Amino acid sequence: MAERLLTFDIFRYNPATPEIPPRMQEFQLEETVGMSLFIALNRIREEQDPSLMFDFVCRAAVCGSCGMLINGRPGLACKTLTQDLGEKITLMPLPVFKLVGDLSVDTGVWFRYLNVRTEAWIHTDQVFDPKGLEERMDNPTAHRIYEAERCIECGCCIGACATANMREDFIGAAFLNRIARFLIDPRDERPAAHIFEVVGTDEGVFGCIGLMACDDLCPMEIPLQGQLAYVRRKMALVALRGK
Amino acid sequence: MILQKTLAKSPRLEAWMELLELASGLFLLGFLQFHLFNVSSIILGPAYFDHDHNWMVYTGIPLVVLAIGVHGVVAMRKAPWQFQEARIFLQHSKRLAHLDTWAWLVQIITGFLVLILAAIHIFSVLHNWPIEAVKSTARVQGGYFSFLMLLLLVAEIHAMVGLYRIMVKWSWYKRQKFTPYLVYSTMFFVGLGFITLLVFYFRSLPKGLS
Amino acid sequence: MKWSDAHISEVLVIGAGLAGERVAIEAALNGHEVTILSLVPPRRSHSTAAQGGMQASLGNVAMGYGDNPDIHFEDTVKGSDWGCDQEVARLFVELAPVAVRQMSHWGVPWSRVVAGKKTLPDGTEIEDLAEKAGLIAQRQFGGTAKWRTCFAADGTGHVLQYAMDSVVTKLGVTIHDRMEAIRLIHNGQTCYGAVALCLRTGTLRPYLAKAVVIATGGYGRIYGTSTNAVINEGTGMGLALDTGVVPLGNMEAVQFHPTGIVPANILVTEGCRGDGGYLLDKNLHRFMLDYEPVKKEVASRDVVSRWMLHHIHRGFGVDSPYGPHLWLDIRHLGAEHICTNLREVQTICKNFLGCDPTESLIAVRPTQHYSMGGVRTNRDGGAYGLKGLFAAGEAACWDLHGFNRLGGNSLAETIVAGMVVGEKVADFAREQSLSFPFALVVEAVAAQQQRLDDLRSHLGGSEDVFALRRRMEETLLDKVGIFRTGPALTEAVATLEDLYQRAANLRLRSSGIGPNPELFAALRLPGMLRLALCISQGALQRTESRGSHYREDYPKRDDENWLTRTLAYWPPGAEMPELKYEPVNITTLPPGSRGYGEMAITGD
Repeated sequence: MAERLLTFDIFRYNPATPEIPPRMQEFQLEETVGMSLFIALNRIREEQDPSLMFDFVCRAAVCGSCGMLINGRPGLACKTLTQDLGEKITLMPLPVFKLVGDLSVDTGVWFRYLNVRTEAWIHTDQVFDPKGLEERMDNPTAHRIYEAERCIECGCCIGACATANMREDFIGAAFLNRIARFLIDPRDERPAAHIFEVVGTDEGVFGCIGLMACDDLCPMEIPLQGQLAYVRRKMALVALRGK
Repeated sequence: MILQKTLAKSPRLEAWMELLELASGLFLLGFLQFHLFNVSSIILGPAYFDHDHNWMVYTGIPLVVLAIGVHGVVAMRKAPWQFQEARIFLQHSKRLAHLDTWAWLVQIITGFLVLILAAIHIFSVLHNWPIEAVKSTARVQGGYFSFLMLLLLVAEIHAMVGLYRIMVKWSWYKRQKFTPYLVYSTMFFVGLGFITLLVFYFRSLPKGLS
Repeated sequence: MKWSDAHISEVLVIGAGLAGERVAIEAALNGHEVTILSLVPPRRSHSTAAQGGMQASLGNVAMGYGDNPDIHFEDTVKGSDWGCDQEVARLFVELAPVAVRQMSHWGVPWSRVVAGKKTLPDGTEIEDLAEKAGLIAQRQFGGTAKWRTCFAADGTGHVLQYAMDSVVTKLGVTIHDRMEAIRLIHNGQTCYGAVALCLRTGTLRPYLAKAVVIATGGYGRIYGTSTNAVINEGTGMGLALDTGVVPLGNMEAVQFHPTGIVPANILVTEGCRGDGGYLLDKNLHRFMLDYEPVKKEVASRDVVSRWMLHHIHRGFGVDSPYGPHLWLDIRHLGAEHICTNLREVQTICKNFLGCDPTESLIAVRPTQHYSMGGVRTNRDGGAYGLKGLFAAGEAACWDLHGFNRLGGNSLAETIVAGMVVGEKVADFAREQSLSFPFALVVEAVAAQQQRLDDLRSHLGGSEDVFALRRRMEETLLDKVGIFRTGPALTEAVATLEDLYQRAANLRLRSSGIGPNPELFAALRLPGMLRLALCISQGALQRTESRGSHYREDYPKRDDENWLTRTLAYWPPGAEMPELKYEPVNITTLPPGSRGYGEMAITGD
């Protein structure tokens, strides 16, 4: 592979210096073999501009910190290799979320708020018995819950969603998928009507217009089309039954 | 809690709107293809085309007009009506370069066009009642060919994208699997409509009507 | 500073990984007002990266029948090379099953036992009984006598963290993320809270509490190449060390995981080997058979890592532009197994190596992975030397792991320690009344503000943060790695000492205004260097080999002189740590043979 000179066009804004308006800034970097955006951005920070803000934690595509717009599309920077991109790479922060600075956005507060709003925890009247055996569950059910639970809250589905971009209240694929997880889980004793109050609305599943950018761009490849359809059918059934 | 939002909220209603959109969409889709099959009977000859259509005018057409009205209203409730929303959507679509997202714009535009074109179509047919092969031929040859071709294309595209969206939103199947079939069937219906129009266009008219 | 600037709660937890959140839950359930500070949103914590599993002696699967806490205890003590506190280990093994079951109650989708006959990769036939069907399934991990590791497909840490955080959310515990504690507020006897730096704005705020808990995880990043997340810079251990009165225990005990992938240094789970994967050399020879005929690939991590590096040194490594490595082969486990129970491994290979492990070999090399050492605490999690300060999880030296941690014991430790320490913290906070010496708080904040102002004013100094940091990483990796010698360690200590002095003269290249990453790195660097010095000095002084600490010049374990725990103090203003030693608590299992790692390592 011939060594390429890459040009990065990066969104810059520091909220601490509001007098400098948001802008795009160019950086150039020699490509190395197997270079990921994690490596590239750290090199830019260390060698060219130490004030460049971006978020990485695990750098192994399991923590969901580094979601950003890579050439316009949401993705995890840590697992994006420069060899899969052209010589000019545009990087912008994820939309919808509040900007912390440059490429860093505040996904944590957004997700926490929605976890509270959708009451995303197991609702049960059972009391844990430290001396007892665990409750039994068949393995396929455990796997189905796990499939939905794999979401890493990176926010790529939210950034990719036209509805979430236009309407602040929309809970997005991340939380519709989270709801699917609780609908599947036999340990969650919430009646479907209780869940309907949270997601059977235009802020919830009926606000989704099915553009499937979430399904196409989910870095975890969670089958979001199926998960969303599952929640939609369940909720429609609640509406039809009238309870 | 915010008072005005809480008072205005009726979750059941939002679910019903969604179901209404689904039902009216499916109904119109069925009607469209049924209608196309009916009209295409001209290919076999005017004898197959000309039969009693009167039941349609009393039941079918009002129902279709109603369905179009309902479908239009419920489907449009999510369109980016505010200028800012529209700008956000356009910029978002451009950045994302994602076919499905663009398809929504196609859906909105074709929806509007269908609304206008279908109204003209229904009006012109009712104006010259009843439906007969001779009258239809005269209409097609009298400058309506391109109008009907446009309506055909717009309606079929709207129907295909709509059905695709319905399948995506409600079905158990992965969209990568069913998309090709939708494209093939749309090509079939557009082809059928096109041939039908050609047949009308090249049919010779009895004297005095050309 | 005004009183109103301070955030006051009863319990302050620093770190929102599994240990921190479990402590917070216990304290909150006891009716306390809890605040958690975290560098990142809790669900981004490094705990989520643990793929493999959590050890608890449930005895649910065929290969685990008959398992009990006694066997788990024995495995843990042997794994630690008799370096652990046996009372702590006993407490831990008894509580681990409760912890696993409670996590299930809170929503963790543990993989479950499927009844029926199965054939293992080596041809052994086993049968899972129908009476156990639907209970929590377990897999094999290194250094264990029974299959004991509970798992949720390939993302155990992830689902544990999400379930834990859902309970924290439900309980309404206050979480301030992107907040870094940079200094403890204390008077030499009692800890009153911490000065925290907001990573959103670059401003300071004091957090005051009756009890402060450090649960910030490990320091892997000071090694540069590490399987750890980039946030694992040992900040919490640094906080404790900076007090001058709290020691860090066994800092020289650094674990290297056998299977970090090359070149990305991302961990692929021990489950690969536990489930039957092989390690191969450049001739595709399964070399572990030669070194460990009994345990083969599933000896403890320190032993496997050592043999791997030894084998590479003998010239059997596979050459690559990133240095020599070995192969991990899991192809024979079958696509179905890999696609479900080891899917994360497959994804990592696809994303970072561009290969598919169902068809090709995985390039691996031992990589820094875990810090057994940390803030030395008593059995209740209370830090030595400072009232009101506690620690739990990897940040602590509780001391469950001694000189080597067994795979699957870290997830279990975070939760069990969280339960135990959380309860003690709650008891402590109940007995204390809220009162703070105002002058001390003001002084602590002012001192930190001065550090920020000095860096932002660009006065004096000439040293570059990133350059010094890189030098520290290289030094540790080269000289304080898997194989250690006196001369190399002496050099390392000298280099690090020099770097520590230079770190007092940092100069920022950027403005340092707002959420500035260079400023944050500059603030952390001296603390990281102090940790590096504790590790190197501890390793230099410990003239024996025990667990992960291997001295080529002292290759034998020396129970006569070194059945001790190192305690590293950093007196105020000192240039070097002060080392003290305490005896290791042996209760029921006297030092003996581990059953692996016995064969002498000889150069040839």
